[in-house]
Amino acid sequence: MRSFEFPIEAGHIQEFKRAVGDVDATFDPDAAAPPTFMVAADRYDPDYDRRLRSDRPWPPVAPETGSGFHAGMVFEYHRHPRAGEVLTATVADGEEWIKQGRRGGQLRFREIVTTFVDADGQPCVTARWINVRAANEVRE
Amino acid sequence: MRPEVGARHRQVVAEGLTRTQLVAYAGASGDFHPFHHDEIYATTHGFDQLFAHGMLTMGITGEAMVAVFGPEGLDRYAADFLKPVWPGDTLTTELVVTAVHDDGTVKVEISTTDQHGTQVLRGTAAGRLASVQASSSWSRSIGSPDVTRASPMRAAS
Repeated sequence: MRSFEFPIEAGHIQEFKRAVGDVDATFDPDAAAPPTFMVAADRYDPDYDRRLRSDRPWPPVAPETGSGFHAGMVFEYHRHPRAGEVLTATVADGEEWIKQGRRGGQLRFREIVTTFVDADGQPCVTARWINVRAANEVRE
Repeated sequence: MRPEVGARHRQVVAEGLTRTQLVAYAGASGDFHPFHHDEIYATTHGFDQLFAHGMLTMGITGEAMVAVFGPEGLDRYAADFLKPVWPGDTLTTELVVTAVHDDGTVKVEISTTDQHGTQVLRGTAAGRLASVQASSSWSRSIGSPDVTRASPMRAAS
């Protein structure tokens, strides 16, 4: 489990809105975060490995050696954060399960749960990242 | 007026997805996995070309969510990424109401398909509909629903 701060910045919201298709989004100092914006907290996660880092080789580990693929995502909104807030994100392992794949092999699913709380410690958003890989792969 | 169970909202959420948009999403999200911007890396690892982040597809589909739920109406939004989305793809999202509750909240099923009709994302959402859209953007389940077009994401041909 790890925690880090996620400042909700108006310029970041504008950039994110443009990236998901609202290409004329303007700067709004009081903007509500778009539905999937919480995933951008990764920019502030010191352990995030899908970026250039001085302590790790680039590019990152290829999926066939074990890191798997992003299979799905769930957001549960207790309320929608707005620009100007600073949230605290806590990342923890969630559930794991195995399903039979359509091509005969077994698939191992794993959740990574990130809980976002506001400055008062009240819940804002819970995000569940669901990863999948072949169940017979050894490497985590 | 609230929609009935079976009512549909259909929206073109991307027309000719561009590599530029993939790069923009990498910057905005912080996810610089080379599958999504490095053609050589993607082809070296067995793909025909680079492809969109699953979260970009979910984010683009989220434009349809905002259209009907408003910016703060969602209680839950879940998606499974079924197929890769490639540069040049045109994506259409359809929402179908599966439950309408007395407190004004609704549940919908989500399907996003590419220009070939292949489903690339499926999911569910729940929340309170934005008041304006609640009466204007839904079609009855019978017949062809009206299609809202995405205004911005049209690639130059």
